[in-house]
Amino acid sequence: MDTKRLLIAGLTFITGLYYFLEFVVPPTVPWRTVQGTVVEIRADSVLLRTDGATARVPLQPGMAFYRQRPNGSYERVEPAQLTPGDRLRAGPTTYLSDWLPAVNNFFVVLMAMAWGMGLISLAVVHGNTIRRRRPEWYNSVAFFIAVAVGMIAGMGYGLPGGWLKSVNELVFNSMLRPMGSTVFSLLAFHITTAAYRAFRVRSAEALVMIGAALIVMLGQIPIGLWLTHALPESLWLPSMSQWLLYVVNTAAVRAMWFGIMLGAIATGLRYWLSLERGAFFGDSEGR
Amino acid sequence: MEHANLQMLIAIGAIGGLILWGIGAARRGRPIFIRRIAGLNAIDEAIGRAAETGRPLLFHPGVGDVQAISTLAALGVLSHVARQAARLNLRLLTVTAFPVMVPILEAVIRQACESVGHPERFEPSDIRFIAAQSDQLALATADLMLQEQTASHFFFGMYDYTSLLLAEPGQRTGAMQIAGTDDYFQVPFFIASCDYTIIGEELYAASAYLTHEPTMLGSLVGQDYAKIGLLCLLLLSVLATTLFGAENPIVHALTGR
Amino acid sequence: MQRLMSSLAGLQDIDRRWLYLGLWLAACLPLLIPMRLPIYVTPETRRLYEFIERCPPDKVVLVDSAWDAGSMGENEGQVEVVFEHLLRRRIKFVVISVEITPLGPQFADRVIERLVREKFPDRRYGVDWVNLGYTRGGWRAMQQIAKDIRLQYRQDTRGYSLDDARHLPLMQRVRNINDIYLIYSVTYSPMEDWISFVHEVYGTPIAFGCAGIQSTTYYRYLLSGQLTGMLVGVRGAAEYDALLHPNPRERTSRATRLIVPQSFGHLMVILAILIGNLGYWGARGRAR
Repeated sequence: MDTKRLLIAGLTFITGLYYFLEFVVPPTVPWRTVQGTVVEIRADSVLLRTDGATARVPLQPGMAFYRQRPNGSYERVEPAQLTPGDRLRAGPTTYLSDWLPAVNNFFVVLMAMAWGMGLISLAVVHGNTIRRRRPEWYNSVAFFIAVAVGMIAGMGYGLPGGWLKSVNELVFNSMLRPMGSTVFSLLAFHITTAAYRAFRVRSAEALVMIGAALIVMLGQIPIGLWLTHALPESLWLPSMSQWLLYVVNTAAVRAMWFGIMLGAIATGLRYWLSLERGAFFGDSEGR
Repeated sequence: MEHANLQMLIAIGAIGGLILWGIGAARRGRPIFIRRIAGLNAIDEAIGRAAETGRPLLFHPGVGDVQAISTLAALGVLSHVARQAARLNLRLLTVTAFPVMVPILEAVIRQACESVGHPERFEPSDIRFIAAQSDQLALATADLMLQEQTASHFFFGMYDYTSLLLAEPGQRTGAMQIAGTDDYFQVPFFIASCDYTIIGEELYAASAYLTHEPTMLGSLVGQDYAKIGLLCLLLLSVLATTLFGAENPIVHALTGR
Repeated sequence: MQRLMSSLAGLQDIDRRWLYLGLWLAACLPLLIPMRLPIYVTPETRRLYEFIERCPPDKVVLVDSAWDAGSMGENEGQVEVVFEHLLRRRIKFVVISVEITPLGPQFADRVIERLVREKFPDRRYGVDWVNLGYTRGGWRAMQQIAKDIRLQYRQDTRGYSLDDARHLPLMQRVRNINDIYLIYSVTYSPMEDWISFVHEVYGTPIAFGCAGIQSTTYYRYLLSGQLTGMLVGVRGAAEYDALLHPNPRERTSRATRLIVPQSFGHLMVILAILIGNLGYWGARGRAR
């Protein structure tokens, strides 16, 4: 294994290990953790009542206090926030959970950087196109103009008025909104042609599928109710559609998700431990 | 649940253990059977069809970034397609909406070309970051299909509503199309518009199926045992709840609540 | 008979542009000729409505409005009716937009500002609602917001600090998940991470507003109680509007206007399926 691959494998393992340990290791050292009801809060300690006895938890660096919420879960609190009667779990911290905000922030920033990378990458591609006068290079000029206008428009958001606000309104209301909606509405046309072409009663199963589809499609719109409102409620199309969605559909989705989630665990585990083969982690000979 | 309880720890240990055991057993040479998946067999047929006409292939690795498990699974399929394309000297166009994906896609395809002894057939300009949003990517990809007269299309990975914006125009070009996704709600669209669709966890099995690599096959076996175990627990708790009501010691012991 | 079969078989190969035209007409005509249809309120919509009705005065609702022009047709109505309900009952709410689209906050603002202008002119930004804007980070951002909202957000979309008591008095009593009554996530396909990382940890109720097509996968959470309610597509929003306004004449939301064209669109798709099948039978009959 060369250095680069070793580095990737090592980093992947360490990052995964942090989140894994943060989940499985309790936030306080289990054998030194006391649990009970707060009796009194003193300047140097907190008194807890635990099964009839009283325990004193010193207020010193490295001690973590977790108060129970009404729903049974625990939240980290500072000693000053405690009041007598609180259900408390206190003990020396295992530090892993203390670092969580910092580690999370690191990844949030990393993910945000991907946007910047995207812009740089696009700028390089389009810059090269213009420099080398490739075919349709004027589209690349349009790209830079669009980016500039988009940035200016973005600055106008949240302002009470002014020309920046007007540019923002123009780009947002008159361009982005209609263009985005248009792309999405194409779906309706594609769905119609796809349904027309693919939904054929070729077999008994296809008949069942079309039957279910018609019930759900009509059940989802007021016309379904209008068509069947004279029948008993259980025979209304919306009721039948609800039954299909809540019972039949849910059974199928849950079954699929069991498989999908197990598959995700297995794939995650293989990547975490760098056991993945076939893609960019090397093939069977370990190259 | 913020931190694992005892039950969760046991479940993590058991599932992880079974998968690692499966991988270990397969590496030691235990023979493993994997059922036929028609859609995956059709991949070679689709590549063959492109070879007959000499037109390029198009691979769309979904709209998820590299953190999505389905994208990772799609990379396994891409590796296979790239290897076959390099072997037959076919152009393979790959598109993405994520700049961070570009170097990864490059690495996968370059490695595939090298593994069949044709490193010179790796063409970086055929890996394209066209747009940063999935809908724009779909429109640009549909345009690319027409411009390049692509012969076969592969849609593997995570998909959103743009699945149909890709597959319908693709269908009209007459190209052979194979899709694979774990997104339950995009499956019907792909079924309507593609020649073959790989559904749900079949996507995760794709790499193993195509490469017959023991590590991947062994992981599948471990997964199956874990699934059998989970099903048994599910049956047990359904039975207990039916017989004794929602609050019963068996369910409490299983969930730890 | 053979001739009938042959002409039926012709229905198999209708030019797609005729279908496009049919759909366009089906969607446009009801917009030109106003009509009303009866509304059946599904349990997932009713549950959300009733849950918001029970909101205590000291809690706020967190709305994750992560949609833009792409899914506006379905999502705009879903936030509009819930915002109207919250403003009407004077339930305070905080708008955020996690991960999916940076345009989310601006689209949400547009809806709220119109509602305030037209129906609730006495409601004030910073007092009745706050828009914190877009953030990245997926489930990590959700975790941070739950622990301490200031870990993820320092200022709102107008640039005021969250600790600025003069401009954002509402934020002075919103610290973490304990102050939140309900999280309502509206986007094309809401992130299930809200359930795993927030509901499962803190027990905070979650509701979704999603595109009709995506809803099938979320029904299981309604059955298990992990989702408190759900608005499904335009239909869900129109149902919610019907609950808000028992008198049909008072229903003015976008969803109520869109449900009629949508209904006719569905009918057009059904018609296309029937025509396709008639053609298929014709072709089969001819072959025999």
